[in-house]
Amino acid sequence: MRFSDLDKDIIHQLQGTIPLDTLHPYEEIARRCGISEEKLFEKIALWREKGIIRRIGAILKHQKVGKLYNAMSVWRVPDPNKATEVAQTLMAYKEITHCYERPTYPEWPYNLFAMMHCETMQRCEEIAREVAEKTGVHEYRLLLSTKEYKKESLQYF
Amino acid sequence: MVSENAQELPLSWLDRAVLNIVQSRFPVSHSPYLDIAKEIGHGISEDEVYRCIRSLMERGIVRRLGAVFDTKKLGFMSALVAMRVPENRIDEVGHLISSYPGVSHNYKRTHDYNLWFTLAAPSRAAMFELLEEIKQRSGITDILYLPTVRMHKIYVNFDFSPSSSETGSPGSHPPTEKDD
Repeated sequence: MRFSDLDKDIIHQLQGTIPLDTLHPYEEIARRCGISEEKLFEKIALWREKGIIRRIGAILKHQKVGKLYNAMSVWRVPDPNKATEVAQTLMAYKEITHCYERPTYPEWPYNLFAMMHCETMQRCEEIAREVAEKTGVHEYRLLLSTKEYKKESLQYF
Repeated sequence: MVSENAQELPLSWLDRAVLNIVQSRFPVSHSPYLDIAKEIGHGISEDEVYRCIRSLMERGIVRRLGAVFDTKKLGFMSALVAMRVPENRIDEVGHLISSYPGVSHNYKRTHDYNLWFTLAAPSRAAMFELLEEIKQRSGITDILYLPTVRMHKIYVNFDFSPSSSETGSPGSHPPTEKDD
């Protein structure tokens, strides 16, 4: 899919925070892009339909709503079917927000990655232990984030 | 990671009602705040919702209010990258990595591979150019390139319904039913 200059202008307006100094933010975005509000609504509807826009809403700061601990759990599950099973077991926990499979290397054997946001560190460890018990996969690590150097939404255009 | 503001911030009844809606969708309409007010009911006005959202942003509870794009469908590729950085250089290299606009998340983590970041680029070639540049500028060559092979889930929603709160709400409104 190719994006026109107008498309890029619209994406530029929506990738950050919508204008907060008005009760009618889309009207303001449309004005900045030199189009009508209706035209903007059409674009947004089309992009949502195509999945280019996943959602329009609030992105929360996790730490500030009581989800304090961020751990990345990594699992060594070479068998793809087993990896699916472990992923599904992990995703049954509301503390798990993302679950991905990634390539492995000789120095990095873990292929399944699950992000956890827990109220206590013990809870993160408990979830990992329970999943290991349930699935029989015991080769895992919990990587805690000890410093945040950057956390932002990507600027595309 | 424990944030400096680790204690749970007090959220009013209206904060919770607004967050419960806008964390999944901010209306796409001429008067989105009015639409949210109508959905909440209880005589909440457009202006109250507007002021509530501004306050949630000012307090840093909402980091951003806007669109979440599918990076891939915008023509970008992204990958998780891990680096093994000597402990005495971790901050220096961490800040160098953060200076790249294609880096959105960047953390120090408890492992020999101690620096973990997400890197986006408009093409595969650009991605590898960036990685090469990062290697040269940082002097760190032990890097794992970890693009997503398969995604199992990507969605974060927290339950802000007043009944889920242990701290109670300072607002005077009655509790509502959970609407999901």
